[in-house]
Amino acid sequence: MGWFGNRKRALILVWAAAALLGLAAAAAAQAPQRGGTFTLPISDDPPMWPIQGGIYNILVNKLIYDTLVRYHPETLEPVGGLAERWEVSEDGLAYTFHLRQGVKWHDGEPFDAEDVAFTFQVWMNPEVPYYLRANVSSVDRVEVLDPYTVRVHMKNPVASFPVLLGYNMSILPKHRLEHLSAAQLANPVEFLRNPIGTGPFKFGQKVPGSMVRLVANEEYWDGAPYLDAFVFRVVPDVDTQVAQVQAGDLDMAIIEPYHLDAVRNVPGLRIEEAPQVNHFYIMLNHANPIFADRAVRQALSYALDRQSIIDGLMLGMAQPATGPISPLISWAYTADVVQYHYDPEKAERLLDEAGWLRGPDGIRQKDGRRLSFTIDVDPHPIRQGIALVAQENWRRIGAEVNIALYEYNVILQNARSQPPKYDANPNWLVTPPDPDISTYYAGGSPGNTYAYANPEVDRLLELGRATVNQEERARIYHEIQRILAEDAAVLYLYYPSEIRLVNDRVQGLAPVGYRDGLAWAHKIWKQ
Amino acid sequence: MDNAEAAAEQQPSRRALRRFLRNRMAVAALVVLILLHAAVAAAPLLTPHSPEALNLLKRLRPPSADHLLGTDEMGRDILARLLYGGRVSLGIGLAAMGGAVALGTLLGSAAGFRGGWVDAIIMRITDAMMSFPLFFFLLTVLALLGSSIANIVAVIALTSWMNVARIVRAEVLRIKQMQFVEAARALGSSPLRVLFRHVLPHCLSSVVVSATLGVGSAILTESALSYLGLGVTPPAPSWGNMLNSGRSHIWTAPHLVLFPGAMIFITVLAYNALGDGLRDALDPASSRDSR
Amino acid sequence: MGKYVVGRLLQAVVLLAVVSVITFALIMAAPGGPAILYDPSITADEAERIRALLGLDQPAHIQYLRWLGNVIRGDLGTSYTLGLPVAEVIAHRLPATLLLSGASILFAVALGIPLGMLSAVRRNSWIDNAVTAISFMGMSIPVFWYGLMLMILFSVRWRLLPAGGLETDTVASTLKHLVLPAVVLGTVHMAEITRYTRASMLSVLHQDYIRTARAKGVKETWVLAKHALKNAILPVVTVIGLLLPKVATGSAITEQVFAWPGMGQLAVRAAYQRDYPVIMGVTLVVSVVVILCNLVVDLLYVYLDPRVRYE
Repeated sequence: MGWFGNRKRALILVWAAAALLGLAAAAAAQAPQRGGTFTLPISDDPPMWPIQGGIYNILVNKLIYDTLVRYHPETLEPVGGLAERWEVSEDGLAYTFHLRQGVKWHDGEPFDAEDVAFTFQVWMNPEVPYYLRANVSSVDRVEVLDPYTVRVHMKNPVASFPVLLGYNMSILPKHRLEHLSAAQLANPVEFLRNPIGTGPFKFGQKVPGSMVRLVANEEYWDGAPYLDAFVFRVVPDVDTQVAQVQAGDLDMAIIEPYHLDAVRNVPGLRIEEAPQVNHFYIMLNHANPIFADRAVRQALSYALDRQSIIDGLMLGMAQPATGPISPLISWAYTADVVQYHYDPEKAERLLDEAGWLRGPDGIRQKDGRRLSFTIDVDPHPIRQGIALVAQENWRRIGAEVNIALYEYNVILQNARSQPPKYDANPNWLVTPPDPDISTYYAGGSPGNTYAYANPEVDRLLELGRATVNQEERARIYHEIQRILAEDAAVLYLYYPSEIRLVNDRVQGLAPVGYRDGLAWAHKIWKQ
Repeated sequence: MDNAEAAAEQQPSRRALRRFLRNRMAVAALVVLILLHAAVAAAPLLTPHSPEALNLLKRLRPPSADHLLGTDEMGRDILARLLYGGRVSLGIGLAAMGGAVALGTLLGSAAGFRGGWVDAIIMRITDAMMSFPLFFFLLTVLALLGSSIANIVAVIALTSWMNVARIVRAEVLRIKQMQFVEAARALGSSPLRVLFRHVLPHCLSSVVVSATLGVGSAILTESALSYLGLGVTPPAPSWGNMLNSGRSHIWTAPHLVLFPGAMIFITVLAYNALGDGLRDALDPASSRDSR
Repeated sequence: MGKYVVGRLLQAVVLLAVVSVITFALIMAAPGGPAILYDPSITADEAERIRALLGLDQPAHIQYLRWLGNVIRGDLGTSYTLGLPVAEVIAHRLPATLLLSGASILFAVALGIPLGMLSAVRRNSWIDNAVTAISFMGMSIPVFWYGLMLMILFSVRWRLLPAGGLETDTVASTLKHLVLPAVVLGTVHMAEITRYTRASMLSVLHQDYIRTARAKGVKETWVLAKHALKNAILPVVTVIGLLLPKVATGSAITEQVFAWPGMGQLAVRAAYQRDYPVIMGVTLVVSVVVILCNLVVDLLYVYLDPRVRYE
């Protein structure tokens, strides 16, 4: 178990201790109170349609809709949602979900297996563009066994299936949507004027461009929310969000490390550090002959001063990363891999040995090719900072490094071209709490924006996907992490904490990143 | 051109110079601008630090003996960035303003003087440019061509000539029908000659005011582009990207925005005072009995 | 006059066509595509399917003609990401922008013209110098910094006004939210109006007829009000005319900083997310507003300056 596992355990302990202390100190006064409105910023107008992505959309949908599976608010293990429990067949080809009884849609209609079957049909309908279609690509068909039991038959085993179902895959109301055509399902304008779900909060009011107001669903199956209402306010500028939390207009905002100094000692506010399944890394394009050379990738990794990035840019709000699997998925994570501790001399030695020798201008070259490349970066201050540090670090070992500034949209497009059109760029990756990373590392996969191809990794990824036994899976993913690190496939930087600036009156936030934690919004309360 | 005419030509310019030198504000502004441009040109002599050398261990330091104006969020020397960034910002300001004024004067005077369909076409183009969401134009062009300094200058010039054009046109329309112009026309001067000898000198003062406003606004546009992530590409400094990256530290390290902000203010102030002085000197009507 | 207006309106239609073609060409030329295509979990097939559904797989001219045909029928299309008809999205945002623009221009004119006149009349006095310094400060202050600064002072420190956003429940709440962004946006324009008023006032003050009027012993204030202001106002009207479109489109940053739900913010998000129907719709609507503003300004010319005539 790596440091992060300990850390996480420590965090939970601290949390539990704090909760106990709080209880002891304030006794009954500290019991959750009912009432109040919680206000959270989002960056854009949410369509409130779970068939579309976008963080501003996903967050709101977490409250309006439910998923079959939820993630435990501390361990992120899959636990029951609309499905009370489930079992998987020996061969991993059939999942049987036992649905919760007595659940009602916000309009009072009962929820049952037909809704689940209908939702699967929407997910799998090729005519309806669905941003998470890859999650159901292995589903063969869905069978309704009785009004509260659904069996999903797979074409091939997918061990991560329950976890994927918890990842923003909201269940939709059949009775409101079944009459719609595929084109209408892509964007059901009328339904979205008053969306209906089974979640802890009901749609209340939307002021386009300004805010969405949700009100408590008093009949929520997991207990009525403590809050009366939950408001999402559209505030695109993070600095404005920080000002609004201080002014009391917002109850919480996710802030950047560089805001910390300003808000650390503001009375009435507290800072929470929450772990999240997310890692920052520098993508390298293996289609570029320079980066096809493993020695170059390893040298660049050794030359990178991660600690100064973590201390100087992240102000300690991150842990050095060893691979693409988050330590939060503790059973699958391993720190027992090659670790690239800052060592510029070793980097230079590696390059010398590989035949990359300094030319008259101090820039290394091999076979007439100069060690010269460009870091593409979007305007975000942290990612720009990473690019600047990498540039400085790599110049020292004889690389010529330029920086080019692009909108994030353009960076994504270049990365997703075939072959990818970039040299290197700092990026981040938020994934479901499961170690299956085949989308990002399997040869030819759409998320493999590095043109990385390693047949052994492909084989192991395939195996890991098909293996149901968790211990066996763990061994497979440990091996994958070792290969990716040895290969320096991309350059892992750090696992960032979510830093949240919270009004002291707010209690009961799930201790994990809000992307996953908001599924427990009904547990939030205000003093 | 005969001798008498040449002499008459020379005298007003000498008078203009005398008038300019009498205006203390304008002379002071000129001195400030000369100093400013000299300082950024001599940047390497004024600071031992590189504007790009970063040190995350020394971030956000207040002014000290080693770093006279302190360090920024990446631990870079602010004085060095201010001086080298001044080269970029002043360069962008002057070049973009020059381009915009040249284009605007040309189109505005052509429209006002020729009138008719020339006027209609030019003014409709002006309208089209002005009705365009310029932000989107800037975003697209810079995304397409990259945020190089030359591209930034070009897009700012191409999107800011319309003000000058409309002002020049308005001036031309006003002056065109004044007696001395009609007299010159009646005397058989060619339209081009009338334009250059009589109309343009009279709108020179308005154009000079626009031009001096233009330098500052081009520098500001670059900073706005930085806010939108399309300003001068790092690690190169500009006053605009310094202001923008310092913005998030406004709470704890106000010196990050104070210095580039002050530089922009001084520049705008000096260029405008210079513009006022030039206008007074060039436009005899406005200063005949001013003091 | 009537004929002139009709002529201008016909030109406007052509102009709108040109603007829409240019916008469309820029959209097609710009790198990056609709953000909805780039979610990391979207497969290549899925992306193709979305492209086809949105009609993005068609040649550019077909896409444009299709868009034009719909617009003529009164359909601006549906936003890719907001899930609403573009006309509806714009109808939600336009009032907020017009409110902010109106307030900021009002602020700018109400302060700018008197300050400019005062400055010109008391030329080279300390009043003139103070006004000059203030207006230059207004011109050289970047909106994104100034806005945040005011927010920190008035909302965070003193808790007098809300830190951005717009709540229109009551008139009082609307006004409270309006103050800061209107002042921020208005300051820049006030600075410009002050400078132009001062400059044109100065040049008018020295013209023969004013001096004649003064020489004839007409009272100073009467001279100013009657002759000077009326003549000086012409260039000022030009500047205000120039500001109108700027305020309609150029407030993107102010709206962004103050989370103001207007057209500027809409344009920014549409551009970043490559929400093509919204970009086209916003461009079209803003163009119409600007064309109308320009027409009004040109008509004001005719009214204010009898020497300007249109055939």
